Amino acid sequence: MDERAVLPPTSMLSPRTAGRTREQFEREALVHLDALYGLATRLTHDPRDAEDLVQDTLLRAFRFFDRFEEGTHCKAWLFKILHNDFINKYRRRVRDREIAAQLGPGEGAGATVSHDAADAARDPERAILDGVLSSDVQRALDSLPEEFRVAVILSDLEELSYREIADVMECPIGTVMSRLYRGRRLLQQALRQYAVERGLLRDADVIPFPSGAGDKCK
Amino acid sequence: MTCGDIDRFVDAYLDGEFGDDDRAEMERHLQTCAACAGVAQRHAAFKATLRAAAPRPSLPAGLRARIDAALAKVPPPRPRWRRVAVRYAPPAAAAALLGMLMWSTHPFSPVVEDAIAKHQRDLPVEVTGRPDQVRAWFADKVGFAFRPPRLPPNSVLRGARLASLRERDAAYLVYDVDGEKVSVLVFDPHDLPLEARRTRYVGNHQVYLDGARGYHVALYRDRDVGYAFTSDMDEDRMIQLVSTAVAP
Repeated sequence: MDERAVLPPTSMLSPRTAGRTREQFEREALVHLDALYGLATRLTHDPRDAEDLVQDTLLRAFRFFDRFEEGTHCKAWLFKILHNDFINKYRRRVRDREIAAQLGPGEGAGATVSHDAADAARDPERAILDGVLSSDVQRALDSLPEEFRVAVILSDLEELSYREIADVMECPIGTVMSRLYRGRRLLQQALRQYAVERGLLRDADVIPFPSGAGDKCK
Repeated sequence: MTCGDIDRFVDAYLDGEFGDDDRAEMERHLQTCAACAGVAQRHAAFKATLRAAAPRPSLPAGLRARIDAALAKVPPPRPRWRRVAVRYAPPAAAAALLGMLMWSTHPFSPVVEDAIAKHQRDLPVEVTGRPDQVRAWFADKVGFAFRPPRLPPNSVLRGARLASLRERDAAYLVYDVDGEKVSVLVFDPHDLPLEARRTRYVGNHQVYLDGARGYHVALYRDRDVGYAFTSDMDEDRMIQLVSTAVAP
């Protein structure tokens, strides 16, 4: 069908109409800039790539803003565009870079929460969580395979529903659930390991987290 | 709900994915079982810690301004007709509105859907080489007279693979055009409706334009061979590419 039969070409839109669309975009899409940049950074591990990825995402979203279904979750729609764009343009570069660098351990900067070793012995799991540094969380997130990392970020940090995550990652909901399950447990394992490294936790204190219910519970 | 289920279901429960009945059942169990309640608590604490401790990278200075500047250069998208029309249209425009609704919910052509799906999947190529070498490779593999499109010199053929489109042979080619990925699906268009939301004429060729999920697709037919270009380039650049391809 020829669009000219139905819609005026873009150039004929009045400035008022164009302005309104830009305002809508501002209100519904640009407010998620921080979240988009956060995900982009965690996908690319490179501030410049992250900026480019965010800019590409928003430009594309703007061009296709008429396709955004009103009433649906704009942030999830934007994440989907960003995730697609990442896979198409950046993923290979990131993988090459990671293979080349063979990522070393993180820097471990950041303030820690003071901690009493006696408490650690009483409740080792609590000790891990109390002593956790944001640099630990960053490092643990970065250590996850990309698919697990994306699922965990979208669920725990961005609070998307399983259905929305499935839509962003173009996979079935069952796959989202297993990625979350495995991703979270790997994260917990990594954080436990960092706590041991930092002396917050002795190896002996380490119990499987947070399983162990089955055997204690009858 | 039993203790054996807790590990499997605690995530969905805490993520708010349970319906009312399942949630009530889970909560009944947690009230009577201290061990499972402990597991749920630790998971909840973990979620909360993750959320609180995960660094939120701060926006680089100037990013917002750069995005605003870039947006200002993009021609404004078509307004969201559904809302605009419903809210502002006088009753007399009802018939026109109906036309628009039908237009905006018109399904994509299957070729458009397939082309985007293939473009996104980033499948490995089976053959690389110059366009004439790739053409020779396809000669005994597809049941139509395959010709790669002629593209401008800034396009590099990265490779190709066999594909299928609506259960017929197709060739899938990946190009790099100034650093951007363009995929071209070449197929036998016989009996296959080429349709899209928009059409433009390039020379004597009718080019069908469509898009979804942030990608543009340009479809055309050239001497009994169908071509679908997919990329995230803007439409004008797609048209430029297609004009080179169909130039006599």
